[in-house]
Amino acid sequence: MTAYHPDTRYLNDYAAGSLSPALSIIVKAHLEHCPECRQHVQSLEQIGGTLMNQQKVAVTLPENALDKLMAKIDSEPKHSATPPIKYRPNNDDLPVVLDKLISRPLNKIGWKKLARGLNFSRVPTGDQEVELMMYHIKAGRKIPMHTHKADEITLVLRGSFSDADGVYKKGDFVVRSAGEQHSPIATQDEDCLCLAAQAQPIAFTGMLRLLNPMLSIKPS
Amino acid sequence: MNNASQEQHFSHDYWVDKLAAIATNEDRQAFAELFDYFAPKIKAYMLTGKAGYISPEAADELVQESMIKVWRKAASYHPMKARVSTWIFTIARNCRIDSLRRSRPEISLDTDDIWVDMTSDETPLVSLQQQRSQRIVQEQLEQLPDEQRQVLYKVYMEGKSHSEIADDMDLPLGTVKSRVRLAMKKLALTVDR
Ligand SMILES: [Zn+2]
Repeated sequence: MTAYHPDTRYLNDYAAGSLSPALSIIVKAHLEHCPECRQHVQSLEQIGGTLMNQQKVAVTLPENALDKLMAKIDSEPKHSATPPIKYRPNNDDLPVVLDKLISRPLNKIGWKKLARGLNFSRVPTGDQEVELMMYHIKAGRKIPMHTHKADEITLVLRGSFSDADGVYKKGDFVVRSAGEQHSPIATQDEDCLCLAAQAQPIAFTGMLRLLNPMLSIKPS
Repeated sequence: MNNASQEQHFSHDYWVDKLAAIATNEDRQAFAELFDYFAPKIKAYMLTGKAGYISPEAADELVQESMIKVWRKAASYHPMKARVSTWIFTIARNCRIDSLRRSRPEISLDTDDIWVDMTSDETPLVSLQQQRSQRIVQEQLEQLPDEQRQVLYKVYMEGKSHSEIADDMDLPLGTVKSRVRLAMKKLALTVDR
């Protein structure tokens, strides 16, 4: 069972459909691991449904709106006539939303070395503000101490890592606020794969400062 | 038309039956009723979106897209997953997101891949306990103090972030956050972790 979940603010904005694309993708990836949060989102959507239903509506539709719609329905082939293309996962242990997004095997997505035992790959989402990245950390490897200029969310996809505050396992949704310093370590027995969303590039405080330009890539 | 008695008349089960008639018999009369009731609500929802200021014509187009999905996906509706209004909300919400995403660079994900619209098999049946909680949401929303209800309206109907709401209402961000928190508590949607 996952122990770390998105707080209500993320889930509210996700259920309302206003959370940015990159953040929505990382929330959706957590939901695939977490029945508890899926249920919670379902209840939140009820707020949307009820508010929509209780609106005092003052708008009108064009008089022929229904006729136009029925004509459209009659003119288009039935849903069953065109079976959807069957989805085949490239990486069957990844959340479907992420697997579809990268749409190729993990070893083909173009990894860049950030430090020994630490590689990253940017995941294009079309989000103008938030950058989505995958990090691969070799078993037992320690990430140098660094701070975040903005909030960073990490979702564990494989293996686990730990820092001063806890141990994070597959499906855990970990939020680090802007300004917090930490130095995560991948667990000894297994490589760790994470998905991370951040508003701005992270800043290394120690000897890795020189590598910073590699992370200062503009969000795609 | 008397609004209060209208709401009473159209109970949850009433719409469940209509959807079932559409699913099994392609019942056009049932669909027309559903359309008359929900289409104006969907249009109002489309017009209130923040990224919007969309034209009434564009809103009409999104109503068409949403209602066509209601027709096609009626068979996937399950009363144990959601109330009809919630089911339709998730369809309309995804259509609204979709229309905003069209202007974005192409990525290999459909809106429905990111936001499950409750027509999906992924949406689990809800437990009895959860059904009870859905009833509480429905009842308590009407009882919320205006200031809390208004904040939720801005989150869900207008699609605004907490800080946009703070700007809008000329309130400190902390006040917006605490109103949402209080509302969640009243709706029994606070998760203890
Ligand atoms: Zn969760």
